[in-house]
Amino acid sequence: MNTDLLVIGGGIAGITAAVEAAETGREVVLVEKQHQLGGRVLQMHKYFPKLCPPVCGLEINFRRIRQNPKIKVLTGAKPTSIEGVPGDLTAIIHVEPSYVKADFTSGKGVENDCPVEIADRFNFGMNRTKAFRLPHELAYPYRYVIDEESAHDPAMKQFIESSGIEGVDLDMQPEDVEVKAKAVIWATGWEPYDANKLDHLAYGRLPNVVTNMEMERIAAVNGPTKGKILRPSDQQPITRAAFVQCAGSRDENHLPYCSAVCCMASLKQSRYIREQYPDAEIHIFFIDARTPGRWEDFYQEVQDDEKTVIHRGKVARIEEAGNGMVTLTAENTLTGKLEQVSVDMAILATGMVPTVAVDAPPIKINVDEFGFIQNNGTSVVVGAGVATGPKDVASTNEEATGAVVRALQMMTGK
Amino acid sequence: MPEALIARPDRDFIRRVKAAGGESVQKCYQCATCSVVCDLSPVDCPFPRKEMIWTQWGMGDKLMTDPDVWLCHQCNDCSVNCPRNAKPSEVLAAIRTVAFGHFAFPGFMGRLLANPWGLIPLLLLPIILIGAVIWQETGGNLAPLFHASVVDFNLFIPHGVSDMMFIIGNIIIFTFAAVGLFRFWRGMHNSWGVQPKRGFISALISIVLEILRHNRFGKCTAGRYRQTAHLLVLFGFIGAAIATAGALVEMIVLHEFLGLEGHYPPFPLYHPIKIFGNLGGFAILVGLAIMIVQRLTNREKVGVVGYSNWLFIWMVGLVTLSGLLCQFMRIAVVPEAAYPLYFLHLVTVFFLLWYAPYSQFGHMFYRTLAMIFARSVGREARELKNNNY
Repeated sequence: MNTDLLVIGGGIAGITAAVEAAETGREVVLVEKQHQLGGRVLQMHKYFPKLCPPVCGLEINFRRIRQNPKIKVLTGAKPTSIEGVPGDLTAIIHVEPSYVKADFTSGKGVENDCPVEIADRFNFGMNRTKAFRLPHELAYPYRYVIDEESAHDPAMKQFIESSGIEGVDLDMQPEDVEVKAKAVIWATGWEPYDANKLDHLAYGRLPNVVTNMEMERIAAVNGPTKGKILRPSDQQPITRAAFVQCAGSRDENHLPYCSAVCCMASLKQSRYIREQYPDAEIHIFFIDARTPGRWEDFYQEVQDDEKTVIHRGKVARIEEAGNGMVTLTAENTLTGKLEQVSVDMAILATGMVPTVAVDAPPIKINVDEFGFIQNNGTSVVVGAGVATGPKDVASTNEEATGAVVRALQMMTGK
Repeated sequence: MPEALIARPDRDFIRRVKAAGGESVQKCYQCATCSVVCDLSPVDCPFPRKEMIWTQWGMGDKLMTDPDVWLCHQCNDCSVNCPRNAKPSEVLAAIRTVAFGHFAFPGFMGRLLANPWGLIPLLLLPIILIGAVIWQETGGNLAPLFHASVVDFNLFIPHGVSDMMFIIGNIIIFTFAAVGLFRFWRGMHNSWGVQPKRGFISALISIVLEILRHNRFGKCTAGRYRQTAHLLVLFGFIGAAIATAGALVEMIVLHEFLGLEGHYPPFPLYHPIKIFGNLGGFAILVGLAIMIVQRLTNREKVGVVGYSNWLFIWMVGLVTLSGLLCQFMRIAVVPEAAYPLYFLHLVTVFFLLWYAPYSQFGHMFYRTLAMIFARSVGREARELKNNNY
């Protein structure tokens, strides 16, 4: 198929770029590797600092996509090759089957009988989900999917046959789509840093040590606990929780850079807990709070909460304290004392790893020392969103819009 | 109006710490990971985070009288976990090197030991003194010694003379060392401002027992090998010290004063003196070999090793190796090797002993004293019991 702009990555950056370009009258192909759009933003419970749910914004964007015939969306799709020069690019997009035909949407409820269950990746494996399912209540495209690993499961075949569901084709094959485009925007976003590498912080060993992204899912109404924040080990309520800032960030042994949003994310998540538990105590440990500009007000608000204690000192050890509690150790550098706090739940503020660094693009893209795309005119593609550096959603949208302008310039050779 | 606190950074101190191997101190951003991962650090004012900022701020006076600098056993757990690669263990080692010079009496000795160019005068002193003794004995003609059928070191350098050099030298040097140690002790008391809870002797005994067991090294994670290596060297030295003291007693008391027969070197290999000496020598060599191999192959966990540290290691190695070898060459009657090795042995022995308070050897005085101080004021490695919340 022919198009003007090819956008790789269907998160908030890619969606914004696609919509902005299409609304200038250009043809756009939006490619997303998941079977639904929304990326990391869809996993968030609330945005900071206004604490509103991201689905509002996503819904508006989905409607803009749905109503705009100039945007073609390919999900379950990844580019396997991109060749050419700006103005004349040819990409091969590999599209994985969803095993459910595009017009099939009438399955609501039938998934309850599906005998095949898989770890729910959307919830970081904290729960199990039906292998035949709607990926999300607001999924775009609004379509049931079956994961590849379960499509070939005999139990799935039997279930589809016995339940008489039509519109499912378990023999569906992947296909390669050729897309000719004039410019490419690369908006593949980020992966959470692997907290298993943080030896001293006991992630993976102690169930009550979770990451900030897991916390978003735990707090989300459509998350593993239906939005009730509970201690993962035994589903008990929270009396005390702690946030561990810079967990593997600004650290030469892990991610040497600052991921820019974790401070605000933790301050925000501390409010999730305080809203559900008016008596719960929050401890936030940081090296320094990076809340520039207007964010300072939010930080001030959290500081004013008498149930929230802020410690200046990095947590360098988390141990089991018995009774499901975990003990964090840090030196409070303002008092010069080693402090220990035992909590029901420790939330590690882990940082962002650029997806281009872990899943190499099929085209040479210039990146900086940390693997983020450098938008300095040396690459055929234009980077947008966290692919070019850690940032929040508002900055991502601004950058994505700017990337469209750059892409338009490249298309016309100006 | 409250009086303004004016910080007066001692920039020369910062320069000296950097020159002694503490260059990385400027990378520290005070997250205090180091203070948490260190198992030797106390709950109140743990180290080494505060030492890092004191160094950055040039607070040399505070650091010179800070016992914590010496409570550190440089196991490197802090450096391995440091997010900034600021290497606190190496910075503390550099501060200790600076301290040897700071407390040195006379002061120029500290400078001589800290710089490679100082090696020339430092080596010349024992070489000239011992060389003069040899000249006196042999008239500069070594041929008769080399052609004799036995190796007798007494004809080369009389035992009485070397013993006197050893005894007098030690008296002088320990007097000098005592000046530095007294200053250090007084400094710790003044700056810490805490009344001792425990008497000196009682603290000394418990610390010595602890050193003999090396349990502090046992708490290291990154530098796990150090407990074994250092213990071997320490006990090797104790063996060698027993042998030396025994030989002095035999020669001076039994031989000279009581006039008894057979109590004069060379002693047979089965003699307790020899057994202690040789076992000690081998223990030192094995311990040193572990240290050297680890320093060369495991840089990440050992850290960069500065000049002072290498100098000390090589000197101990040379003393031990030359001592053992000259003994073998004596027994095997290889005079051409035995006499030069004996000369090398005495030169390095005196180098090690006379310069002990100013070199890394001084750590045995300063660290022990700091540990005694810490124990006497109740400054112990933490036993955290969820003390805050």
